[in-house]
Amino acid sequence: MAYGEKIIDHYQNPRNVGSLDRNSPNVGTGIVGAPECGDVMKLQILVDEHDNIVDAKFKTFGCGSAIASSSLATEWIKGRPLDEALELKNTDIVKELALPPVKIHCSVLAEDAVRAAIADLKAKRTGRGASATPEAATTAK
Amino acid sequence: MAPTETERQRQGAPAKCAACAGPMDSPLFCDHCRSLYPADGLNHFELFGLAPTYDIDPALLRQKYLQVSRGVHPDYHSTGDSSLSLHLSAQLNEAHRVLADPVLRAEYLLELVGGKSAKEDKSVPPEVLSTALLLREEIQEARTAGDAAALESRGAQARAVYERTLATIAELARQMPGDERSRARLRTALNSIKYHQKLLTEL
Ligand code: FES
Ligand SMILES: [Zn+2]
Repeated sequence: MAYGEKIIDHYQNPRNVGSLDRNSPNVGTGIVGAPECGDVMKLQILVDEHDNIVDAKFKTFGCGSAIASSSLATEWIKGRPLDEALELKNTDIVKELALPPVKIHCSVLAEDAVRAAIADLKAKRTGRGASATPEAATTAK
Repeated sequence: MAPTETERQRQGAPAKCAACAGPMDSPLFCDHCRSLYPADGLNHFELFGLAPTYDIDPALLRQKYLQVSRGVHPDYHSTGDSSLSLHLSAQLNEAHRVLADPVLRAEYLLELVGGKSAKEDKSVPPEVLSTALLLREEIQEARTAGDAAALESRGAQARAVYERTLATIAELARQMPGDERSRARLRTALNSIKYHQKLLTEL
């Protein structure tokens, strides 16, 4: 099966690869994994004082589809308010990148990572304790 | 309704060949008239006449596998039903693949017990994910830098976590059916080892 141009572009020139300071109070970090294949992804968001996502970075140790999915996801959530970012669905990623069925779990990883990053940020806001152990807010759903 | 061959076997009655009424050692074929029988309702252990436990002797499994495979082989039986023969040998291959692998075997035992599978549950301790992420990061860096010593030490670390998780899986799988708590712990360990296995393939 031939892959679409979009996925190849995101895979070969992934946007937003990197890390943010996970100890910053304005940074949320999500670390998630796919038990189907054992791959892992870290996705981080930086918000401004109005809870708009001003930056997003990821590190994905997974297949090309997972890299492309996280690249697309970070692009999509950048500039959006937190609550809007929660609306990102893996099915949108599947459609946009024309992923085959066997690669659906790779797009789920990206959706999960966005959710986990937002949850981590919210936990930092509410409980002081949560920010001390960033891992506590990560999830593997 | 008369009990099927499988049901009679489960009830402990000696299996008899429906065609020649001779005794059958394997539920799949008759040594005397060489009739073949479908494996309907038999689990992987039953196919080889093994008890459904985690600790199985690899040599015995291998021996049973070869023996039963030979018995269902088209060259051996005379009925000419090669499609049943092919079907059975595919089932035997799959059963052997699962039972010969310590992780798949534990997964299968959990499946036989019923309830949620590890795949459905997906639970994994967060530190398993962060450790996997860190190790993969470091492995990648060591590889890019051509640092053989660092690669070696990360490899040793990855193998150690893998071995630890496998030991946990063995311990819990031996307790099956166990209680819901031990099954939940087994599911978590089975999910965790997927990340450790992946680490090892990255080395
Ligand atoms: S195969 Fe593992 S993330 Fe795609
Ligand atoms: Zn017979």
